[in-house]
Amino acid sequence: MERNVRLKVIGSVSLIVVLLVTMLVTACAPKSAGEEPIKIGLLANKTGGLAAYGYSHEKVAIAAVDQLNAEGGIAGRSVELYVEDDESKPSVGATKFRKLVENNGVDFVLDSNSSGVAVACCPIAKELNTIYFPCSSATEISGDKGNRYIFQACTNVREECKGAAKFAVDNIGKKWVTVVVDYSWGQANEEAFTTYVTQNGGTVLASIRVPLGTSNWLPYLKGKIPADAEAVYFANFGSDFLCFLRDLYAVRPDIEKLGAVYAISARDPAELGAPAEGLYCLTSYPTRLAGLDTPGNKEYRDIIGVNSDGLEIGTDKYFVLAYDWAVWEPIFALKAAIEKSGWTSKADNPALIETLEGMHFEAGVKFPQGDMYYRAADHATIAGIYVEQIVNGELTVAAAVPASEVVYTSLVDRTKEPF
Amino acid sequence: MPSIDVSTLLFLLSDGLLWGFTIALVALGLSLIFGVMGIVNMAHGDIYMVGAVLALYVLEWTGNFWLSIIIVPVVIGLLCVPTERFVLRPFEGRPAVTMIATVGIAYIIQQVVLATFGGMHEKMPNPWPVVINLFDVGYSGYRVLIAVISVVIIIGLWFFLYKTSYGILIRASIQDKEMANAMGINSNKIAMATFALGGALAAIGGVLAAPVTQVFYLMGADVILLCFIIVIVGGLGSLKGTLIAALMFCTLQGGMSIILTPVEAKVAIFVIMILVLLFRPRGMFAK
Repeated sequence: MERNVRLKVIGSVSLIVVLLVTMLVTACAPKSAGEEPIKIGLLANKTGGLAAYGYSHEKVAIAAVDQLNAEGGIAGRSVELYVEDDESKPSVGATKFRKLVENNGVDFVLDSNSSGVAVACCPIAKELNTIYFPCSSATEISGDKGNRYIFQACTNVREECKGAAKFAVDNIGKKWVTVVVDYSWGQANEEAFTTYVTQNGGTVLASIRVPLGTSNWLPYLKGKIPADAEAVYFANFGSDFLCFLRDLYAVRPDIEKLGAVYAISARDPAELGAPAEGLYCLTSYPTRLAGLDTPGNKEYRDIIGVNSDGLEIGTDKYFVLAYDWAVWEPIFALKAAIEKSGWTSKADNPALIETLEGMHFEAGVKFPQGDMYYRAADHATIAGIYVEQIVNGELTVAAAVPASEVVYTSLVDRTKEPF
Repeated sequence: MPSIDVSTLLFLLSDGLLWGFTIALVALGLSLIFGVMGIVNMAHGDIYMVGAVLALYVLEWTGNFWLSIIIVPVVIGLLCVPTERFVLRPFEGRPAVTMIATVGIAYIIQQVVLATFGGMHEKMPNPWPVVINLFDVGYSGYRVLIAVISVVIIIGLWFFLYKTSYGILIRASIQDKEMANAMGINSNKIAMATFALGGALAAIGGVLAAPVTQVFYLMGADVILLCFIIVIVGGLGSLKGTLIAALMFCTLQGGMSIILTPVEAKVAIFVIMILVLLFRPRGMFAK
């Protein structure tokens, strides 16, 4: 009996030793870079105030990585996606960014639709030698808050307002009032729209700021909109937009309206009713396929599961499309730049960054929004924008503004920054 | 200093007062729960939110919004019964612990709604699309109607608490729980009924507010802070104080927006709260 027990112990110990040695040898065995997958992190707003946007961004990122892997990955290496929820909060986003890089070992990070999260993560990206593609339109990201590791994946507020200002003055009105939610994104819209409308011969008679999450806009609108104002430029979304629209209609049903990107995103225009009839809204990606009817865009929609009207296939709900393309495109931009620069690991980041700086991409399924490039000086995405309008309860594209008309003089020169 | 237009001022005061009645409903539920059970219900705003979400479902399933005013508070009240019995009862009378427990409940409610209802703001159609000219504004008749409904419910609540034997038992528990126990009142049953009643009031508030505020899984955060300020200033557990403070704060908020910026208005609300507490540390109407 004693002998049997001794044999069992010796057998168990031997087995454990063999297993440990095998694991150690496997872990220490040199691997060529080609065997290791390239890891991409996604900071999605899965919960919090921007939860609807996080859902669509995650779905699009998964589709892009699947598509990439089906085509052979990047430089022969497969791609793995790691998703973290930033809860739409800067403090959480910053922690999750570190987790993605330090725990999951991701090579690149994409997204966060939240300006606060994106701005908070910019210095961390540089500290951790990680190239980051935030999907937020805050002007600071391609301005004083960004750095050489940051490539703003979507168009920014300054481009959007510059592109829209001429159309606004020529077609909507000359005397404007701005109404924005009172935080950095809203304030940036107020500032940029005022600047460019004035440059185009219009005037801004009053600027109104309203706290985020306001359900009753009447106290901020009644008596605050001058009688001779012809149009309102507004920057709000979600319930703010719905409540603003209703209350503006109560105060000034006659006034024209132009909204910033995102206002009508994922909204059924027919459901918005009379207050929204005739409303204009900026977007960097048309909701309906008819607004950008190219083979590449159609294929992109088929892959991400969105029909020609902007409804998600399967749920028949309006999908948040506004900046989804800006989650999709950086993945294919990375593939092109990695294969061009010969990048194999983070040690090669300087060469990869230099390759991405000024890199142009042609419209197609990989770049469904159209031709675009990362401007070398500030790492801004330069692409065209659109003005949508609700006519008879349906969304139509009232104007397409080419990339050449959204370009402004860069505020910084990243190419002179050391790595 | 902007010039003050009288019609604008009167409009803003009226608008604030009308909204105050709906907020009073929600705050009364919070005050009742604290008064009887000693529970600081951090999930109260989320119960309000669930009321709005369920109203949207009732509308979708039955095509009739008005049914939700009856169905939703009953459903919420029934859900509150096991919550009180199995989650909160061990902590009753210990406000600090109940805060932590109810924060947990609030997170669970939010995540369940996010997973099922989604994270998109949903538009609730206006069930009474009548427009009233109120000081040159095409004012929603529905807002006036919900103020009237809220007043009717508040009168009903007053009748229940002051004119029925069960209401007297609840008030007895608020005034002196130990004495009520000594007199043979089953305080556990009273607590359970009170939590259900408080939850139902929040749910009715959510149902009525849904077409005004739109429906979103975090919408509870919009009202919970204001309700706590109202309950504290009115006097913890004082129903009369809660009602008066709700009407006072909402009317003031409306009036202040004509001369103050949004940030200044928020600061002013807290300054008023601090001033009241400096002179009346237990609130305006606490005994």
